Amino acid sequence: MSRLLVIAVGLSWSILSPAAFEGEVGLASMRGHPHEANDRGRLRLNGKLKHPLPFSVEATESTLILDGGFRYQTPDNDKSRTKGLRGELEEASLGIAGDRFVTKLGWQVLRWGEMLGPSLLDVASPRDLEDPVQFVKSDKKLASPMALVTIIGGDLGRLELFYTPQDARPKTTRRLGPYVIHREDAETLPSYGGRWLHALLGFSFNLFVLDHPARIPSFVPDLSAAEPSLEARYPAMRSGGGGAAYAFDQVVLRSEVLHTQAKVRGVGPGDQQRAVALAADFSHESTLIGLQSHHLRALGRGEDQADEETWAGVYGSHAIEALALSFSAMSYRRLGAQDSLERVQVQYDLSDATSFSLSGELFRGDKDPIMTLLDQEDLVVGELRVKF
Amino acid sequence: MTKKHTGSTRLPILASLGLSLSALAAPEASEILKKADAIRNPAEAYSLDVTIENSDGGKTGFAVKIKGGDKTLIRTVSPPKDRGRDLLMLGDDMWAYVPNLKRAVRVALQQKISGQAANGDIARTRWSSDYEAKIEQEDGDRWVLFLTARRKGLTYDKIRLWVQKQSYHPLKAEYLTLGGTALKLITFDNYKTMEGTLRPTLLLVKDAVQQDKTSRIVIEKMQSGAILDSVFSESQLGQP
Repeated sequence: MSRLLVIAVGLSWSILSPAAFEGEVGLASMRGHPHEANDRGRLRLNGKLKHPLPFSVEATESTLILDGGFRYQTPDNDKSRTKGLRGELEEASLGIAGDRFVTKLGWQVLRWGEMLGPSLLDVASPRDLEDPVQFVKSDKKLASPMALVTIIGGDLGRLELFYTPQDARPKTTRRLGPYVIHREDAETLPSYGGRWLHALLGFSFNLFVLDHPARIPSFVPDLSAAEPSLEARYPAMRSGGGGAAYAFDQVVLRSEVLHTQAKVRGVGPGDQQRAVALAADFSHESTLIGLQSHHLRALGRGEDQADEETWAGVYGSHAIEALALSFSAMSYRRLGAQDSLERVQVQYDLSDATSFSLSGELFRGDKDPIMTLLDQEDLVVGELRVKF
Repeated sequence: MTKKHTGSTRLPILASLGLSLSALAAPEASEILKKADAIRNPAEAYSLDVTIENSDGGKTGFAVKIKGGDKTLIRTVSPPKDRGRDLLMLGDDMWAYVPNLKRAVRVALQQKISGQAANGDIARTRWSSDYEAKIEQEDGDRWVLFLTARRKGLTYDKIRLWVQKQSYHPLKAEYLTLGGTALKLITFDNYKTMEGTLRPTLLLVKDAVQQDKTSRIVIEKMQSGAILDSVFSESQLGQP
């Protein structure tokens, strides 16, 4: 088990009603890459601001929305190993909300999906593969410059359309064999698409289609160059699919379907993948238990190259309110291979404003690209959060 | 001339007598329910500050925005550690923001929001659009209405509701399963003038079996006013 200890301190407070600010300070010590001499340390400062400003245009009520987030951290990329902190904008957008529409321009992140566990549909903004802590917190996605329009159609549901001239590049310094992918080297492509959300007869569902760059690095090494570099084999993809959920009593059934067609550089359509995910969860009082599985069929360039994989998982959480303790756990494994993710978290509420949590994640990588990247990145996270 | 005059005056007298008689007759159950709804809901769109106090000592504060019978946004404002655990109701469907996932996922109206209070106890405040009503009995100065859900998936299948005759104030309710078993007892109390009318500001929710398990839903503030439809969107959930 490799060593990765992260200590995070979170702070959040309201600075001016209705504006609100959230801040977070994190310290991490993590193992370096195999070709790096030293382990890495990291100091991170995060912040997020939201400020809605109501205004009227010709008696039509509207709201100006200011959203922002930043990340300020020490570099952990061996290529840009410099002293001091490096600032990075996480999200920054300006928007207008009318009665039946919201438009937002700026650096934004889209988070899609129906599942309480890993979601097949969360493909619209890339994950930050540089930071394995994302798997505990599941919130580290990379913002892209984006125009986002949401049209609220009443009985017809809701339509979201977005266009990103330069989608965020895959950000990983993890190993791919002997190679390291630097964000600066990765290709930038536009992405665009739309999602329709509606609810009918007790089902809520969404359908989407989008063109986007590859989210998981699928690179081939270019060894002819003086300095070996990596070139994406499948730089662009088109994904379509949807999700649905149905709730009755205290049970929720969830499903997701995804079809992805990779575009091979210069030679037309490439590999196809189809995936289906199903989940059911039940909640009662302070307890939640759920089961999830997904089945993926990679067609390759023909049925003879078809490859299939099935994942199954169980998750649950329980709160003991009198003791202010809560537990959550998740186990997600690929059947027939050694890929797995195990997650446990215990949280103790020290007061109404302060909580301490201890989380652990075990990754095992075999065939799955992300699990292979994180194979030796098991981690323990201690987190103290203060909100006031 | 005189007879004609006499006859013509009888008609309005009879008509007015008829109107008076009909006014004295009991109103339709659906009418009673609409008027009871109007006691709890001051306008088509309004905002509430609500606190839920549980018998185990827990206390949670919510800022609620309601528009019509089918749109509710519930933002958790206290305790600070729970901020961001927001809920959105559109029609009969409900989504909860999961801070770890940073996105909203579907939940059921019946799930508990805090203590004995279900999501739907806060989110769905208009019975008349959800339930078919009939007058079960008259109990002195009260009507006892029996409400049956118009469709599946609502917070409760059946409700027995006591409404005061003169004021249309809802007094208490029994929430029942489809088979008629009592799940919860709720009393509407501490009437105060809010938005120009006396309205209940305390809803005491008791578990029907373990009656020591209680939750007090306290309405601290109520304000009518236009709310944009776009406020009732998943993107509004979990904001700092």
